[in-house]
Amino acid sequence: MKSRTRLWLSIGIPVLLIIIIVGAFLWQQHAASSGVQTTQNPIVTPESQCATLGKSTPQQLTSMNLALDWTPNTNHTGIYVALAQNWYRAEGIDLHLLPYSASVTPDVLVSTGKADVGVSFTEGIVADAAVGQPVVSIAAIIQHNTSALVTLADSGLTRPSDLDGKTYGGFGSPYESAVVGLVIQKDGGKGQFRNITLSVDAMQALESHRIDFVWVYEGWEVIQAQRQGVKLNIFPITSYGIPDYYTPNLITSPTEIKQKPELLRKFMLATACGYEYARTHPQQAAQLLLSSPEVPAGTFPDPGLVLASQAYLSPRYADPARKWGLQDAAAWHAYPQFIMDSGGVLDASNKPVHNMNLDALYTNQFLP
Amino acid sequence: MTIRRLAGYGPALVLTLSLLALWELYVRAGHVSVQVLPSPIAIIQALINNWSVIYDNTLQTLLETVLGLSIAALLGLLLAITLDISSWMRRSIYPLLITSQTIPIIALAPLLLIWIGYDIRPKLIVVTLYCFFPIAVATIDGLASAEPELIKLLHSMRATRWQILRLVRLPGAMPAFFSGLRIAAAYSVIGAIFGEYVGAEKGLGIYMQRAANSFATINVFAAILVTTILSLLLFGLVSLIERIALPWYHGTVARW
Repeated sequence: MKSRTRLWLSIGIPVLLIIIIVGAFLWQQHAASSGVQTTQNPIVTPESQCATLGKSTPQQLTSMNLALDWTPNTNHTGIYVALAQNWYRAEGIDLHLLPYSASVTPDVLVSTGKADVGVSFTEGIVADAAVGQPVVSIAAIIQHNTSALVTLADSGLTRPSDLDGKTYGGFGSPYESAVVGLVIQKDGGKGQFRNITLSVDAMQALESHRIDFVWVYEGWEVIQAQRQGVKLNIFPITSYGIPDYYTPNLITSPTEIKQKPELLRKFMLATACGYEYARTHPQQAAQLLLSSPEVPAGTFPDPGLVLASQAYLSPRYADPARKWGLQDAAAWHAYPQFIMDSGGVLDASNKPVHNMNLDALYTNQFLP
Repeated sequence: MTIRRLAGYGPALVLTLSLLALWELYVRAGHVSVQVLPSPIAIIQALINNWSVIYDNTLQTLLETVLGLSIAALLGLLLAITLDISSWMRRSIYPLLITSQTIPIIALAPLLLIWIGYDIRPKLIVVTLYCFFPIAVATIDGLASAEPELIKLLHSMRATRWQILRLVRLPGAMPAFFSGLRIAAAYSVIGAIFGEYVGAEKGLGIYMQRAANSFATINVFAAILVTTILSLLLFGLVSLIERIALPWYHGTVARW
């Protein structure tokens, strides 16, 4: 080979590689966008308020970002239902879902204005207020707390008081020890245990027998374990002295409330109708979630998990004869005060915060 | 490629295969739950079953990788030349160059997401940050170690600084440049995955996270397998280009 040929080859090969990859990427994107069709299933809506939603003519669309707190799951079903039914569009909203990020919380995205609304949880909202990054809860997605401490059935740890001196695999939040400690104490134990922060999936760590118990949601992790034939002992935290509280919640920022109250009201109408539908039609709602073009392919390797989880969660979206999303003062005082009292809420300089205006953390004003 | 060269890979192949066999047997013997550690054969099956989804995510990651690596290669080369030309530049930029590598990317990546957004740019920045340093440092060393006799010879022929660079120092630095590039190529895929891990719409990094969240450990391993193959291919490609570009180097130096 001549030296000139060599030079051209050594420049040409990388350039060719880039062209091929960019080409394949663009082609794939093109194929994906032409393959997606908006599914429109006509559905008889349960509530009169929602019935008129699909019928109004789409106005000029306002773009809105929603930050998810996790990969899509049954906590989000109502949102995906409303998307599939075009209810956001009917309200003049072009809703864009920001994918879940392990290192940037929806709270940060909402408070910095990168997202208009987000999915968060009570402890997170209290912690945000403590560090001076306030967000406001505008709806309780689930009416009652569904979290529990779980052990493997073959571990012989059959009640919370057995957990004394055992190893807890947690997620590294300051309020965890207080909650876990109280659950053990309420059952007659001392409330002393080893706390290890996991960066891996809690259930996986539990199954590897490296830790003794974890704190998970009954509607997702526990159902998943059951589907895999893993037997668990389950201790729901609210059965052991922990005050009931809301998780997850929909949040927005105080700025957004000041500047776009009308948009939030429209967003909440479509969302509430989505959850109302999911509450009364678990099966169909789960199907809408599974087939949603907004859910990245490969998110649900086991559709049965979604169906089972939805069946568990749908009746818990709202109490009978109560509207979806409503938040009570009691829930916003008891638990947040408990974690503050136990030193589980830290301000920006890592000092415990013992009181704050809890009523400023939530509002029902945007619910239909 | 001669039989002799091919046979040179024999020991590595035997070791890899026996490790895989050991792994497969260990899992089959039921010592460990499939959720914790799936077997190699099951991983390959999962890869085949989920190929269309994994392919989609792989393309995204590959795009970020090759673009980031190209930017890093150009940037590394340019920086090396700039620093070599002027000692003033060298003194002012070299410390910054090293400082850039002390930034913990684990802390920077989430911030990039907030500053720039969810598109491809923060991923390119992460890949470039990972990759340009080995290229720049290796090339700087290569430029500095040009043969003094050759430079003297060119001086005696009244060559300009640029001519010396083009005719002696740059060709002389090429083996070092490719060493740096090979290290960078091996790192680049990991860089892209890391950039995605903190938040993305598509890509192997976010695919792994999503699979882990939906308890599909086996799909995480399938994605790891793809990552490994991509890294090896890129490494191989850089070696191939090096072979084409620097035949004199490969003729004289014994390779491992």
